[in-house]
Amino acid sequence: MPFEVVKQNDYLLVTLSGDCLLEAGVSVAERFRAEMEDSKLKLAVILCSDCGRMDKAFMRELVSIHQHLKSKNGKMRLVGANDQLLQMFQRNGVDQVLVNRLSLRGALADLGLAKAKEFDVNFINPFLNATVKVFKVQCFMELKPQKPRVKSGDEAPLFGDVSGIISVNSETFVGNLAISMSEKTFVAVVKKMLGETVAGITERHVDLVGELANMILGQAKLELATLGYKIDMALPSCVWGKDHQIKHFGSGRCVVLPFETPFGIICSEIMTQSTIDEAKKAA
Amino acid sequence: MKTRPIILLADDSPSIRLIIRNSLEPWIDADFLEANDGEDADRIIQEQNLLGLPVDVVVLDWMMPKLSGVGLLRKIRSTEALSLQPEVIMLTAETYPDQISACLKFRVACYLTKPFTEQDIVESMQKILLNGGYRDAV
Repeated sequence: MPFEVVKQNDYLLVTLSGDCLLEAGVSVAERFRAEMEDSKLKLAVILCSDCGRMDKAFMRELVSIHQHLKSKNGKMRLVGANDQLLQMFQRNGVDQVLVNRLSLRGALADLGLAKAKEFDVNFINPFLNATVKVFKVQCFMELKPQKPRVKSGDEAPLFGDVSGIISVNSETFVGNLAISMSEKTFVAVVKKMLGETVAGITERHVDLVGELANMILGQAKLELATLGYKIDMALPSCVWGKDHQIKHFGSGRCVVLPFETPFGIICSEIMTQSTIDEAKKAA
Repeated sequence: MKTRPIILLADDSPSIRLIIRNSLEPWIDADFLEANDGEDADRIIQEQNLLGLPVDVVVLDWMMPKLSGVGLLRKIRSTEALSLQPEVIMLTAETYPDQISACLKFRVACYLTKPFTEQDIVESMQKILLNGGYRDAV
């Protein structure tokens, strides 16, 4: 069977897999209605990331599920539909009905089951693990994680002599990842990564810190995907200057992850600037 | 007539290009070219073709200004003369399996994610060059 219906706390999760064709289509709608009546749940997520092909009959069954939910004041969202499916929905004029989201988190936010604005504490470990891994593999440095903390409003902005910054964009929020270090630490990182001895921060080498931020985000987003976040990649940027300060704007929260190295402290900061709706309004 | 392979390093980070070059040079006897973005890489590939000195392997980043690595791949693979050559090693921080699968459709020889080790890049390059007949280069 190319589908499975599992009751969650607040919604029904329908997982599609393989080719979704007519016969299965008839039974998925029947099965869904039965589960819905039984559970009294009115919200549904249709997970499509493992669905290859779908025929029109199956698509009509999904539309039928949508209509049934709507008649009960319910709602549903699709997650992870591939381009082929999205084009099919569009060709058949049902793309406004079978609304797709890139991530489970995005779908749950649409259904009012996930808070989009608050910082998710589950963010900490993926970024912590990614930072340790990136410095170990690329810089041959063992980082000792220190206690993470949430930044208070009156706390000094990010310290450092050189920082790499990259956008962290998902369906539910926009934010930034910044990694910052002192000149002494930077000199050690350049030596470890490039084998070059530099006396201080040089313009020729500052892109390294942006690249490290890029790699950390790349690694962290794999782990974040398992939590339902789908993060877009972006181009990193760098700022440098003795004791420069980075101030984050927006309504979100900021978490600081300090790491001890033999050459000084390296800090990663993750901040959710605003929800995606706020960002859209601002744009 | 060239006797050594030509390798193009296309990454917007000069430091990453230097790390790749430092990793490969002790092991691979090749001529190295560098591009700072996708458009720059496209121009170099075309110019080398016109000179009769085609690029053998591109080490290609995904996120680059002007033209992304995937944009470049799409462009060169839709060009008849470049549909098979150069070989491409993707070296990128993009880690999502669906993105990797989408990229591999453009005849990518190898997909490496950052952070990477010297062994990762050297072994991938050696394999490609041996398959391409450059036994003396590795």
